[in-house]
Amino acid sequence: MSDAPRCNESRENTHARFRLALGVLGFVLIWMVLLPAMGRIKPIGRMIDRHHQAGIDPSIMFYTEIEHLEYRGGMLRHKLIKDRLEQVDPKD
Amino acid sequence: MSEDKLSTEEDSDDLKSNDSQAVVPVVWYKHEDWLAVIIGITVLLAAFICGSVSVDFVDGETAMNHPWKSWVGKPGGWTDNPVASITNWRVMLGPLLVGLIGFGIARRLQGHSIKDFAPAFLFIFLLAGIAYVMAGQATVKSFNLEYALWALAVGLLISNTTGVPQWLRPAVLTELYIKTGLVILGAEVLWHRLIALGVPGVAVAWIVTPIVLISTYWFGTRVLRLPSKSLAMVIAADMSVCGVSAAIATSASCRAKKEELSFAIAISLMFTVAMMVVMPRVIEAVGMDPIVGGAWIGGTIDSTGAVVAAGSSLGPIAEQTAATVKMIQNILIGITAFGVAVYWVLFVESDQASQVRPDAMEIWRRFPKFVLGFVLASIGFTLLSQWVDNGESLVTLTTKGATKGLRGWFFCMAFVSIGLDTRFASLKRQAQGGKPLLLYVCGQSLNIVLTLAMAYLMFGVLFADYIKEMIAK
Repeated sequence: MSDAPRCNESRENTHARFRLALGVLGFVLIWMVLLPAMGRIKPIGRMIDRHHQAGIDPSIMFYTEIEHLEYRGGMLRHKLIKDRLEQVDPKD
Repeated sequence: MSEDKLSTEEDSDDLKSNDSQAVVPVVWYKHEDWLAVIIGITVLLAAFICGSVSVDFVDGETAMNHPWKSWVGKPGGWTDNPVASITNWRVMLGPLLVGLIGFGIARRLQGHSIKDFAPAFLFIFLLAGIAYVMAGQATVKSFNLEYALWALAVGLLISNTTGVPQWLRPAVLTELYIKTGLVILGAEVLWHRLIALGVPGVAVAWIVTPIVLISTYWFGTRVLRLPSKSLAMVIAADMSVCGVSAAIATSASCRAKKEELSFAIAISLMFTVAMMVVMPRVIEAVGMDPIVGGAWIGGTIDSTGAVVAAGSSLGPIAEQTAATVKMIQNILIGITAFGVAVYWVLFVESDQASQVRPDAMEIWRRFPKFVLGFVLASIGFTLLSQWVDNGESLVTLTTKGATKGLRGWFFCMAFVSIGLDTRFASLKRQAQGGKPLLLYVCGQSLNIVLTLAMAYLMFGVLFADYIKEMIAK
């Protein structure tokens, strides 16, 4: 008689672990297969490239995380050209 | 007060229940709010001092980085291979160490064992790291799906399948992480930048934002009759001020439930994705002036990153205008958090507790003390930026190079903790027959119309030449 609740508990634990594994597998599939594939769709790919080239991170939360703009003369402006030139290899 | 609030009995009351009958006073420094203030201010001071003694300036500029910069940051971006995001793993060591020491000492002061806390904290930190890696995927990042969402998802997956193991509980500290992160965020709220763009910026951000915030809250509580006033407030602030960061600050100020914060953020991010794509197309289609369009985008789209992305698709002028309007709104969270905390203590909680207006001591007892740390950090760093030699550069160096990385990790761990404490059923309950969604849609519609009218009037008619001259400088 006392084995029955223990057996149920063990079965529930197995089910819970199975659900967790399934969830993890779902995340892995979405992030490793679906999202990279979506990124190769032309309009989305173009948007990603444009953000990347301009140094924009659309997922930031606060203005201090904007890397390509700086506060100058009463507003956020693109960093000065000299800063950009420093990042560009003259051979390019 | 229920366990699922963003403030616990321990930190909101000066008396801690020992059992149902007796109460014993709790020393102030054991309160979560004060601990958050102590950790936050210590981190800020240490970062500022380190920056000021090790960085040399020439004519107010420097080519050097903050000494913490290579040790404090988040995993990088990736497209196909997530391993690429953790190649610079050193940037995770700083937040890990600061968190382990800071929160470890806090837990010890509260009478808990560091031996129990440390392994649990390491696991929560690992989950936060996974959330950051998920948020770094190029497609996810481009659609402004911030780490908060994935941190919640990771936590929810565990809590709704296997449940949260007992050994992990000592580090599930939503309130402590959020409040500490908010105190650190205070250093990024520089008050003098509130007057950026002059009168037009003030008009769009200072007039429209409070009108939309108050109207949305009123509509939610009086017309839609949402049962939870705090949910109405969090949605109103999230939508009218600046998205996730405003939602975090406001929810802590009005002691919203964890599920309410999660729900408000989910609604906001959903609409942000749509607005980020649609608004620039509409502006282009109607041939709107990029300055007016930029101001409109900056005043309406919730999230800062999405504002910059949407503005940039209209060109550099629109991008800079949009980002600056959003920056002013970002800074408004200081006033919003403080105002909401005062309003809640004076009017909402006193209504709920009794019909009698609380006296000064009662107000002080109920007031969320971490808000004082947030405001203190904000005023302190504003003064440092103005009064110290090379202050503006030094403050920017400190916040960008050191503290923003730390508060990002603390917020991320807070969202993992919220996920770990939340059941899907309780999230579903927040839907309340679609009323919160309706509140967001109505509030955002008002925001879109009012901001467009004000942006057109200020940036397109009354101060058009002034703004053009300013941008050309």
